Amino acid sequence: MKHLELHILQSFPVTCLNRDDLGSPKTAIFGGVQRARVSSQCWKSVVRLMAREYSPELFRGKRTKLVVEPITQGLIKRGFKEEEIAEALKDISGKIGEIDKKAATKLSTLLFTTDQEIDLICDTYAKNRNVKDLDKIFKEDHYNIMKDAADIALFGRMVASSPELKIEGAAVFSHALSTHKADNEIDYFTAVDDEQEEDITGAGHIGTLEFNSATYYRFCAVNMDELSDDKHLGVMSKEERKEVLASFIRSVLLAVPIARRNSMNGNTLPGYVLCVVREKGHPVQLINAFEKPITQYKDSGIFDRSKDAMLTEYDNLEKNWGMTAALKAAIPDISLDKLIEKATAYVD
Amino acid sequence: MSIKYLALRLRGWLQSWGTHGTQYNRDTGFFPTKSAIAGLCASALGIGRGSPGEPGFLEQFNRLKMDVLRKRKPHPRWEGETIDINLLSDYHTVRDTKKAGGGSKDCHPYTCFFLTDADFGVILEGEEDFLNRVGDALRDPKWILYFGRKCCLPSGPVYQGVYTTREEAEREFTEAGAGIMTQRDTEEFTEGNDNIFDVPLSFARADRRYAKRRVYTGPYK
Repeated sequence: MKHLELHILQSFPVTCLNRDDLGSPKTAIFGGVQRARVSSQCWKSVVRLMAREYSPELFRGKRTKLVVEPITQGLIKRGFKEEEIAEALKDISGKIGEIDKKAATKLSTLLFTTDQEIDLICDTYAKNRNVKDLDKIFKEDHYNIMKDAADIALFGRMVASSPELKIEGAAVFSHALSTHKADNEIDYFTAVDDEQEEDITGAGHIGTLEFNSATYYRFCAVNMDELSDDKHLGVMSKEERKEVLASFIRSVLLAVPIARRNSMNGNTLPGYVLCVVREKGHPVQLINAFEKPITQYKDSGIFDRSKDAMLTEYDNLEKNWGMTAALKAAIPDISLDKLIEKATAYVD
Repeated sequence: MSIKYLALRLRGWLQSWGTHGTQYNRDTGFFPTKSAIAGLCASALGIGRGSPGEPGFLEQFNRLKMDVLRKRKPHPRWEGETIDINLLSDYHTVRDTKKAGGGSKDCHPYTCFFLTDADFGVILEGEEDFLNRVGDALRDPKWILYFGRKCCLPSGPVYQGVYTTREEAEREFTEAGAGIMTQRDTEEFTEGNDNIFDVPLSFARADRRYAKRRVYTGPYK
């Protein structure tokens, strides 16, 4: 499998990028000690939305319940009358998800879909007066809906009511994990009542927030063979696929989870990015570099020592397991644009 | 046709080997299941769930004897000490889910469980040709390999080698000595101490079925 790997080191000051049911930043034990953690789905959702900003024409997938109106409009365009449409919607919702009982304009579950897919559904119904064949059409003519849905191809989707609509994502993300031991800390805060009379003391509000600060190792990989196959983006031109990968890499590197953006603002950029393309084998992360938690030593801080450890782990894997790379490029050795240019040269 | 041993190494800081539910509590067992290893191999070969190639593959795979070894990892700071696996629970919410009786639910919390600090060796015993085919696929798989969930990615190559004896196949794991736990298929009922329902008969979404196997779970001896 030809695949691309991104190994990212990124430091965050006081933040709570991803919290659990109690509002604490997520953690995990690794190498016997506690680490800060950000779950993969948390980071994926911001990457997906940012990629859409870079390539709005290619990342058209949307996760929405509001598909009843577009389908209705599609059917009107194909000459259907109002009473026929109600029946059509009943049939179609059997495939893509039930219509909300309280609000007839939406589905009761989110659907990850595109405009082209909605057109395909309307066409199928107009032709057959039912959508029974939709499963078959998706199976055989799958690519038709992928012309503008790079996000569905990369991140995948699952539709409970129709297994045939399931698409296995070509990209994988690991949970981000701190390279060092990390403890959550508590921020005690008070808020002053602006209108309070001067002789009255005391705060208008007190509370606590949990946060931590960490240098994270982030890992993401793309199955390049799968990305350009018939079930994914085979229908796009090579140039379009290159743009898809470029926007994806850019977003993976630049997007940051939005939690507490106003109060803690953790908008940092990666300090080091190692981009690897291999013609064979499977993606392997370099997390074992940090199994022994990184500590400060003399003049070098956590980030520098994390970087050294990561590169040593890379060399070990290369030497001991013969994991040779077709491309090995790193930021800041080269710029982001240059890195993207090099990586996208491997798109089929 | 000669019998060989295919050794896999499952090294990854996060792993999750579900044994039953997939809804509220997405659990993990303390060893990879036979169905998980079947899925990993099928994924390497590019055989999809419920695809035409699946029945033939599973028929051959289920003839293999599986032997799982769990090694304690060396302690990162204290020489000579080791660390055990940890259980991590991860809290999630999904919005707008469907209810069994119809209708929808605004917010549905669920918990995923993972193992951290786990390091497994899996030895598959069976016919040479089939093991070579699976081994070649694991070296250069069709699809990305992961350990139970898509975010659980390997931190080393999965394929270790095809060996002529069990001892050779196990060496990487047994050399370390103390603290090795094992879960292996047994031939005789009396050799085992547990029954597990994880032998995959079909992965098709609407027709998922499992059969029973007899295993020994305990210290390696």
